[in-house]
Amino acid sequence: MGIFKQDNQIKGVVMRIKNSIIKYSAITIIAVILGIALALQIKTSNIAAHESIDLTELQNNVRSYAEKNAELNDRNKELYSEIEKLRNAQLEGDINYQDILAEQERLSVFAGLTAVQNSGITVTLGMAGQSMITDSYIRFVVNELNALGAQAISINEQRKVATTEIRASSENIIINGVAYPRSEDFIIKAIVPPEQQDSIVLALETLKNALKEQIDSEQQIEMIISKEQKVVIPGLNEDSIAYKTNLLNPAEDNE
Amino acid sequence: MTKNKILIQLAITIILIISGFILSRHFTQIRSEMDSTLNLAAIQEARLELVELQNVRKNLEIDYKNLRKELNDLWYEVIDADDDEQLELLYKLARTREIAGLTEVKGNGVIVTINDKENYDPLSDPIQSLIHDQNIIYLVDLLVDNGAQAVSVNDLRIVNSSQIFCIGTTVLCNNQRTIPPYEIKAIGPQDQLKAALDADPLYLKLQKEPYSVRFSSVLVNDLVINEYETIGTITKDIEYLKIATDYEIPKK
Repeated sequence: MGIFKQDNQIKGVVMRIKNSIIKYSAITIIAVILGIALALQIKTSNIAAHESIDLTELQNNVRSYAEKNAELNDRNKELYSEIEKLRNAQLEGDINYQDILAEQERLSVFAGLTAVQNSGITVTLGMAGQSMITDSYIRFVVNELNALGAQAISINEQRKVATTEIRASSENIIINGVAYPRSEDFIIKAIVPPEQQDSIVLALETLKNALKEQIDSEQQIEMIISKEQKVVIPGLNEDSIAYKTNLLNPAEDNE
Repeated sequence: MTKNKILIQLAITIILIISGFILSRHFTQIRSEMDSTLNLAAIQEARLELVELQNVRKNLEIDYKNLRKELNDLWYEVIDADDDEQLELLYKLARTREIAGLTEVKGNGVIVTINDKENYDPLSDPIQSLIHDQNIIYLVDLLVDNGAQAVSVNDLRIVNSSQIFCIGTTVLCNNQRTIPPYEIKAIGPQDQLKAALDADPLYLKLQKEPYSVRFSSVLVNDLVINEYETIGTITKDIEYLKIATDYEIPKK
C-alpha cells in the first residue's frame, strides 16, 4: 500500500513538472513570436516614415525646379524681346547706343567696378592691447553683413567682391592683394537696406558678444558698430587681383 | 505553487498587453496602408515630374546660351565697325559681364564634395556632423583665398550679391534651396587649391570621429562653372546702390 502511494506521488510530481515545462515552453514560444511581430511592426513603421520623408524631399525639389524654370523662362523671354527690339531698330536705322551704356553702368555697379553710396553701417574692428587681429574675425563680420543683405561692402576702402581674398600673413592682412597691418583697426563699411539698419546693428551686436566669448580675456576684441546716414564704398580697379580671369575661358569654346 | 501561478498570470498579462499593443499598431498600419499605397504613387508621380522639369531646365539653359550669343553677334552686326568707341564699349560690356560672373566659364580646377555624416543620428551624433551654411562659406573663402577665380555651390555661381544661409534643414544659396551633398566647384591654380584643401585643419578634424563628415576633393580639367543665373534679380541686388561722384569717393 505504502509503495503504491509513493509511486502515485512520484507520478504526480512528474506530471506537475511536465505541465510546468509545457506551460513555460508555450509562454516562451508566444513571447518569441510576439517579439518577432513587434520587431517587424517597428521596421514597417520605419519604412513608412522613410517613404514620407522621401516624398517631402521630392516635392520640395519639384517646387524648387518649377520656380527656377519659371524664372529662367522669364529671363529668356527678356533676352528674346531685347533681340527683337534691336532687330527692329536695325531695320529702322535707329540704333540706340544708350541701351549699351545703361547696361554697362548697371553691370559695373553689380560687378563692384563703380563707387557707390547710400545709408549703411560702419564696423571698426580691432584688438585690445598688443594683440593682432586675425583674418577670420574680419571674415566673420563680412560674411555676417553679407548674409544680412548688405549690397556693397568695403574693408579699409577695398571693395569686397566675390573673389576678394582676406588672408593673414605674419604682420599683415592681405585684401585684394593690398597689405594692411594686423596691429591697426580695420574699418568695414556696408550699404544695407535702410529699413533693416536697426536689426542689422542688433545682429552685429550679437556676433560681437559671441566673438568676445570665443576669445580669452587677454585677447579682447574691440568692435564699434554704428549706423551711418551716408556710406561711400569705392569701386575696385579692373586690374585688381580680385578680377583676375587668366585661368577662365569662355565655356562655349571647343565644345 | 501559488508563486508559480502568480508568475504565470503575470507573464500572460504582459503578453496580452504586448499583443494588444501590436494589434492596435497593426490596425493603424492597415488603415495607413492605403495612404502608403497613395504615397508610393505620389513618389512615382513626383519623380516623373522632376525628370520632366530637369529636361525643361536643360532646354531653357541651351536656349539662353543661344539667345545670348545671338544678341552679342547682333550688336557687332549693328554697330559701325569703324567706330572704335562703339567697339570699345561692346568689349567693355563683355569684360564687365565676365568679371561679374554673368558668363559660363571653363578652366582647370577642383570639385569639393561635402556631406553630412552617413546615417546621422541626432540623438548620439554631434551637431558638427551636419553640414551648415558656415561650413560652405568657409570652403568658398578658403578656395578664394587660394586663388579661385570662379566658384559655384551646387552649380549656383557665387557672385558679389550671393548669400549662403540656413533655413531650417536646407541651405539657401542665391535664394535657391540646396540639399546635400554640396558640390563646390572652383577654377583656379589646381596645386595651390588642392594643397590648401588637403591641409585645412577644420576639415581634417571634421572628417574624423565623432564628426565623420564626408569630404572629398578631386582635380578636374576643363571644369565648367555656370553663369549667375538670376539675371532678373540684378536690379534687386543693387537696389540701394547709388553711384557715387568722384568728389564723394574717399582717397585710399
